[in-house]
Amino acid sequence: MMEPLLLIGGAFVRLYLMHNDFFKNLCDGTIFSTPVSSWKRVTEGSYLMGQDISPYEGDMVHEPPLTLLLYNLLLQNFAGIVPAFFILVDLLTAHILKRTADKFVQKQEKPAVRSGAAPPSSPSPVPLIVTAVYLFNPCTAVSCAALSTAGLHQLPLALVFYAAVTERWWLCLCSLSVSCYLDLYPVVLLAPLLAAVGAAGRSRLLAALLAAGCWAGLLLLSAHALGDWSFLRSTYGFILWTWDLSPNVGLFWYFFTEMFQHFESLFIATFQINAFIYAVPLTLRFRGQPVLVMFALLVLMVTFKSYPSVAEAGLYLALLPLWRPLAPHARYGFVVTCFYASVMVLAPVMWTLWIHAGSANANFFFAVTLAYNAAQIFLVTDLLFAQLKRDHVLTHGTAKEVEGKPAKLVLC
Amino acid sequence: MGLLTSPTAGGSSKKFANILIKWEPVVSPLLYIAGIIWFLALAYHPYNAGTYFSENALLPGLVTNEFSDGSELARLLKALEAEAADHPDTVPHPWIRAQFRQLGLQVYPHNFTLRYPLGNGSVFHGENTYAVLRAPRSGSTEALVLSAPYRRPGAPHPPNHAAVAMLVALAKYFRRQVYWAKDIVFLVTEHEQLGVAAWLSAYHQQPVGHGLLDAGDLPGRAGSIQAAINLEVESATVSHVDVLVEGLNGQLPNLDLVKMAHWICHQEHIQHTTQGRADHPRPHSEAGYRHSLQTLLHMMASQAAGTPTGNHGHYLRYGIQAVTLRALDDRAMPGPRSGLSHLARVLEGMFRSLNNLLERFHQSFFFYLMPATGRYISIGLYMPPFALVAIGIVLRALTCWLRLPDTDDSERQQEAEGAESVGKKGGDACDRPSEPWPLAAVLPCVLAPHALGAVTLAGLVPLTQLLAAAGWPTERAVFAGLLTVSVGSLLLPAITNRRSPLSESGRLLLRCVTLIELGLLVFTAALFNISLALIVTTLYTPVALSARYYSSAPARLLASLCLLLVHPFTLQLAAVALGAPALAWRAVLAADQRALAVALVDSLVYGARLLDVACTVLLPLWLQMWTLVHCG
Repeated sequence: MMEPLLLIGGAFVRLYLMHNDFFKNLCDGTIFSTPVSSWKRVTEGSYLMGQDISPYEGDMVHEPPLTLLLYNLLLQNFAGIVPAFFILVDLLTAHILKRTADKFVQKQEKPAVRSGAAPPSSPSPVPLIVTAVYLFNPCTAVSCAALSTAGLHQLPLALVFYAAVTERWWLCLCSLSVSCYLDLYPVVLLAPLLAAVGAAGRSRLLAALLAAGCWAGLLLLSAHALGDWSFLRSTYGFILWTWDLSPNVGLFWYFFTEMFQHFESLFIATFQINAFIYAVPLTLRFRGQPVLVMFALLVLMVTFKSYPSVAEAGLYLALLPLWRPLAPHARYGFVVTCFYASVMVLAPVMWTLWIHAGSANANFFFAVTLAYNAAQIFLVTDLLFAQLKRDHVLTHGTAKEVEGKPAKLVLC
Repeated sequence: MGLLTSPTAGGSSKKFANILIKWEPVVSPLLYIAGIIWFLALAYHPYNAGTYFSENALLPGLVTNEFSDGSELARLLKALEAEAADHPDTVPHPWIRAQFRQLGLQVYPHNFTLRYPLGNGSVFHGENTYAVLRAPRSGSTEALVLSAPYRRPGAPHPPNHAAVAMLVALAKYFRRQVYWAKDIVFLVTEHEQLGVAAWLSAYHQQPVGHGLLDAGDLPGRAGSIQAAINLEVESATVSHVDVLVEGLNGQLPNLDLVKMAHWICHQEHIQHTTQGRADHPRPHSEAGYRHSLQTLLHMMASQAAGTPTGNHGHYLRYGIQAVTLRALDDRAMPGPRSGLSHLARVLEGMFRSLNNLLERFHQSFFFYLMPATGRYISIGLYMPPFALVAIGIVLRALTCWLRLPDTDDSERQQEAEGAESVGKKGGDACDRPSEPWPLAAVLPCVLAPHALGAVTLAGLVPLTQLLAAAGWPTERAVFAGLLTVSVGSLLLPAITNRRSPLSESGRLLLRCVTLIELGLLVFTAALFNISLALIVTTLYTPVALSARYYSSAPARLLASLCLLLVHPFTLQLAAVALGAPALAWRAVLAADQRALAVALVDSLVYGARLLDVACTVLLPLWLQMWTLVHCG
């Protein structure tokens, strides 16, 4: 009963933000929309298509062809409902996340209830918290008001999590392909998914082939729709080579504006590898918990991708309450919370001081983005380490003593 | 990543936490006092720095200023005064335009309309005149502005005819020079700040004031404006020139521009002041320290208000560096008097210097405080003492967090041990928290005040319209509305507490959340407006540190009293009372009502944020502290 209320509330918040001058000004910043998710660029692409010019000829449009066609359809025929479309997408994502959390919490409880060790308790508040966090998080709400296309990218990602929790592997791999098609980076989630597929007794090879085939099909369809393959350079090439260094909340822009041309390719490779390299080791270490690994990889992906926006942070922040059982073992809750709170306030402030008032400079904003990324790293390491500690406690008991002296579990 | 069970590490962080919890109540007040002393010491001459030119391109005062047509200036002033006497109810735009047109400048009118949002709502019209001197040496890509507000006889401010006359005289002189590389715009505005705000809004086609201010469009433009000087001349003889810097929301112009204004005044042997105060002859002496401290506090008071001290304040929000030069003849000011041609040479020097600029002002400082005309306290100097004053808030938040009962309590540990035999999965059920999350109980105590604050801010305009129908003046309506909310909200703890009284851990968590939010507020405010942030922090840190539930009634009463003293509403009243000439309560009350209405108009029309922040952040924070004291 609470969920429809939350959804309606979320829709109203977004409508309000869309019609508020203050937030309109805030939205022109790249905190909420990057070159790959900017709505202005989509309208440009739609206009170019209307003029029979390939949208990928210039250096303006970086939206994948199929979604660009979808937006073009919307803009040509139902331009009035574009805001409603983005709100609807967000609400749908929120609903999927709630279903995910429902199932996840249910699975956690089940064995204990079944064995009679615990009475069936009242319904957990976690799913509603997940929905509320996704809907009322300023990251997602303002991004939606800015019509950032990153909102649509979250939908297949949320679906991947839902399907992984409910063990619907077909759906899972297909939505992963869609997600990869839109953004490329989610390919890292393939590693934990394949491990999970294997653990469920299905063929890993078949699963990998399914995902790859689905992805290839989308690419072929795009090429067919456009008539050539030029979009690859403007979408995946643009993401991988990071040609646009306009400021965003990520780590790339500041570093590469000061980079000598000569070293650029080396360091681009070094930076990009961070987004991918953790997939296999984490999958191997946390073999039994594919959802946890997917979550950790999602955070790392948002941290290390070339054009991150806070809209993507909204997704993992919404899923964070799922790890409530790990909270007693986490150490940096206070620090991470304070980091996130201050970054959310300071990022727009520094942006205003730099761009609008002209009294601060790029270093001010970069300092905030650095703090933001540090917070994400803190969050993910703390979470993974809490899982290790919990595993340790569950198998060895809680007596933390070594040779009679009180001891402590530390990260090493 | 792996696990290590370290016997030596055992309890080391607990030990640290215990030390912090034990010593924090002593350390925080000490740091607070140390911070205040440190900050006050910054006004002492050896502890601050001398202003200098960071932008070498300015090259101020390298040329001899040549303006010498004092008789023309006097003739223009006389003619304008006669014109003003003939048309006391309008601005003599035809005369002004004719003067500029005679010089061969491009002259344009600019009309604007303000729909006054409060009360019955009325419509104000205004008209500006501006003339553009095109640069002979470049293609209108950059511009400088010299503006002066025109004041009708009988306006609340002293007349400004001399400044308008000087604009014309300077235009005539500048017209004959060949060295201009930037367009020069001469702007005569009406209705004080409104005229400048409207003109800038139209110039940049950037709407301001939520659609209330219809700025229209401009028939002609110059290039991108690099700098602006706003001129106010109150009399034909000048005892000193006051350089005004504080802009909207406490924004300040680049220190290079301020330094230049002072430097050229100094070169032309005109006395120059900051905050209307000349420098002390012996800054190292005790009297000298007291003098510069007073100057500093004057600047902080005017910056904290967040309203511009002159028309230059509106240029700053477009990233245009600007100052107001106010020339006065103050009997109390010793020293020789200068004539208007003297002042004209100062402006000539400033414009020739600005003409040299190669880039926008970007060097030097944008965040500073000035204890004397040639001294400044940069952000690097004032931030550490400010951080000391505010750090108590963060430390107390941390200790509150550390004192929160550990969710990892012994009972559940035993359960977990028992679960070991059941198997790995079986332990999961024990991980669900046994007591309800304190966050759920705390959330209403945080959300309700914020919702109340937002509703208050949004409801003020409809309230004045509603009460205007009942015959209430706007000022009284705003005052009554805010007073009702302030008094009524004192009952909020009773309402939020009735359904679910906060547990011990709930109180700690609420304290923690409140302190974090307060810390965020003051540190963010310090970036925009250090004066306001420092004043709020100085007043709020002690009460925020002591805001908790006391079981003894007298202590609770004392805490409530302290809280009431720093209520935003009380603070506003106190600020007005401090600025009032006499302490008659009726006069102060009337002034307070006026100030509140003006703050609301500033917020709606100009985008001043003081009232918005006070209603939506400070008031809710105060209410949370009030809840903390009364949540027994």
